[in-house]
Amino acid sequence: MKIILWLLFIVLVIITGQEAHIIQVNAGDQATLLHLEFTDFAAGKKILDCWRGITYGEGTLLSLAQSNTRTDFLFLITYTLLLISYSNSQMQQERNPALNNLLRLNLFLAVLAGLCDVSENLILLYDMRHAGEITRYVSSSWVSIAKWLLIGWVILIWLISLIRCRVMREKRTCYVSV
Amino acid sequence: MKRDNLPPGRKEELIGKVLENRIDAAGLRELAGAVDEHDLSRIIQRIYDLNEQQVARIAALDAILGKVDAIKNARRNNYFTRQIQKGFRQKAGNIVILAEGDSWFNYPVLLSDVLDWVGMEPDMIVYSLAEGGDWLLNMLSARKYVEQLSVIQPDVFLISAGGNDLVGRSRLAAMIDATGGGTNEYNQNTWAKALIEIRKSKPIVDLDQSRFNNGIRYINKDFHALLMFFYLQYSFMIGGILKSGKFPDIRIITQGYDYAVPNSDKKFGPNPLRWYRPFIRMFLGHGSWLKTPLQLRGIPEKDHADIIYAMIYLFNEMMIDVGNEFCTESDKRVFHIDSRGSVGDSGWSDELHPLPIHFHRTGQTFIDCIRQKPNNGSQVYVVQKLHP
Repeated sequence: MKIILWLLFIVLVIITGQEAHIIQVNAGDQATLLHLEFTDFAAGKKILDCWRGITYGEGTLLSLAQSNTRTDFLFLITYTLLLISYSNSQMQQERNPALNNLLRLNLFLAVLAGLCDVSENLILLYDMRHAGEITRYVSSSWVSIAKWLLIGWVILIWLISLIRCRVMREKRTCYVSV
Repeated sequence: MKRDNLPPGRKEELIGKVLENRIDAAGLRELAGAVDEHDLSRIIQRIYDLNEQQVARIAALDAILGKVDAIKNARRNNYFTRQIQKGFRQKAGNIVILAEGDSWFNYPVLLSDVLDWVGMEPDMIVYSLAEGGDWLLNMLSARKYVEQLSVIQPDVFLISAGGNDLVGRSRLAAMIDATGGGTNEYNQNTWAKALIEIRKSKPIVDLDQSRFNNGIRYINKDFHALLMFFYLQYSFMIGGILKSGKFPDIRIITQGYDYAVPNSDKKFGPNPLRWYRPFIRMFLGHGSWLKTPLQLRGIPEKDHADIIYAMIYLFNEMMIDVGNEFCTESDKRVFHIDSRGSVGDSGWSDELHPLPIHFHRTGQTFIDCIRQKPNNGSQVYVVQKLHP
């Protein structure tokens, strides 16, 4: 199961990473997909206008960004399942009750992070669909910040438990490795 | 295993008495030494008023649940195999465990169950056959543990079973006398009465006599028959292992649950660390095992908890009695983990399963028992309360 998830994860990282790279090369370092996630109204509009004005293949960079965002729906499922799977595995090896509880909380937070990413993608797709309209724009920065904080927290707790297992030289010292 | 031969007609007579709840302790022990799988199958069909196929159908594990259980077992058992391949068995003092059981031993994904905690010990590895929702009936008929006992030759065999036979598929409703006239059936069960009297003189955990009396009056003949059926099943299982001569040093550890609390509250609350509790309660059967069957029989809510109290008290005493049958002062090979009263009213994830902290404590008691921590010579290890 994990192997399948990892394979899917890597393939999607390559696909979305390549698309993001094309956007960055053509639109510049200040108009990347990551920038759009965190920008306010004015900067967001500027990025979208930039993408609309640059042709790529038979369309524009905007259509490439839309395709990339749609692919991200599949990507978010894979990383959410990986976070759940690794947290769950570690939970069943973590003898410290507090960390065991935090790893259990990770299962919920990973789902929450995935839902934040879904919201973010829906907002970005809305913004892209209305790129030509002056007033229609919703910033995704808050859900993006929440998503990254949640992912960061989940990985941090997992890492603390993993390292603790190794340092304590307990049995089952983290045979799960990244 | 060779079973005792009874004179013609004697076995039928004793089985009839079990089903009528009119057997004494001596008769029950006589029957326990003589029953075989065929007899057990006949008895349960009579208790449940179903034929063999119908019994098998209601006891069958839910397909989805079975798959989820299998994932956890596969992970545990892969780890077991890897450790064996690394030479775990060659190191003196390491303990190899085989476990058969229900959701107290295999609760998928959300909770760290008893086996999770036992399996974290550096000197113990667990091969698990446990499946959440499984019935003792299935375990005995599938006989997976028999095969694995021979293959693995474990130092310790853990078993947790009986809960689903009692509360699965709303069976609890069929064990209830809604008129409150069940005290007579309890009085007829001289074996169970004797167990309680012995316990009063040799206490292991507190007996709240008023709660017990209040609960027992709602418990009908079928529960007493089922309790004796459990006795026969466990005797058959344990006797089969110990008397086979194939496992001269094996120790067997049983457990008997805690006083579950019938309710259907969802337990929404501000504690993020308990996020899973409303989730479990909304989607995984909470309320359907205990509260709904009792409501179905029109039992006043104030008496619900006392009924389960009496049932669980007797279930544990039955387990201890089975163990006693296979133990002498100098040779104790069957042990019991007594969780009665350890979880408390507020320590439950749902109707049947404790919060992880309580699973942890029960797991720790299993670990103490497996390590043969001194216990005043008793084969019963009591799970201590979190807040005495």
